[in-house]
Amino acid sequence: MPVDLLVLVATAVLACVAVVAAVVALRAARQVARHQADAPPAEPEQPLAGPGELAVRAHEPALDVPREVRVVEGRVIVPPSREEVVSTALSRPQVRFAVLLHGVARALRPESRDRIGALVRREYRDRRRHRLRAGRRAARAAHLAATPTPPSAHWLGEAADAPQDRAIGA
Amino acid sequence: MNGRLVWFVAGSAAGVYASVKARRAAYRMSMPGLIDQAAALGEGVRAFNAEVRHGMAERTAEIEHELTRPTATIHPLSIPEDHRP
Repeated sequence: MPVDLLVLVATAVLACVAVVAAVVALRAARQVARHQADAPPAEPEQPLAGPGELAVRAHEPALDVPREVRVVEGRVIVPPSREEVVSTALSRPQVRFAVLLHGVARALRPESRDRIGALVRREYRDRRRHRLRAGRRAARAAHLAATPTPPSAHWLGEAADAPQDRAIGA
Repeated sequence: MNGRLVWFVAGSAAGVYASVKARRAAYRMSMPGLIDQAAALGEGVRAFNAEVRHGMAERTAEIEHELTRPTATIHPLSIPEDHRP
């Protein structure tokens, strides 16, 4: 392939890219202009408080303003929403580490430490009692199974046979 | 007589105490005791994890609240003159 043809193809590709970028930028600029035209006029400045008072005005952060799409140096900039800002801030490694440290510090507080220690001791004591009780019950059952038939059963058996003996004797 | 009774009672109490402690120590060293200790330790680890997660959720909620609350601005002209820098 000759060199002049390559240069021609590259120029054509660059021209196409430039045209597409110009169209995108023009559409974005028109959209921004339309948003600015639709936006309500700015509210007049409220009068200041008295000279001796401290005026504290609470206003919504800039994140609550409707998301304006701006074009800066040919790039379309979309302001992030509140949720995006929060999720981004919470996903930073430093913030996650600080959150984890706060959780560990909370778990290591004296009251939590005492509560967890008491829980472990109570759990061990309950398990030991339950196991010993089960062992005693099993030993008692084995002892009862190993003992011969109580005398009362013999006596009852003999009592059942007694009328026959008496009848035979008679 | 009285002194002998006191020594008898003290010796009996010490014997009962020592036997109970020795029996518990022996149980702790036995296999069922080790299993019980491991189970209780697992329960403690679970409680610790739950506490850590609770603290993390609390801190996360605090950070979210800090990031989403309305900001307060102080107008410099409203500060009294004797308090201005």
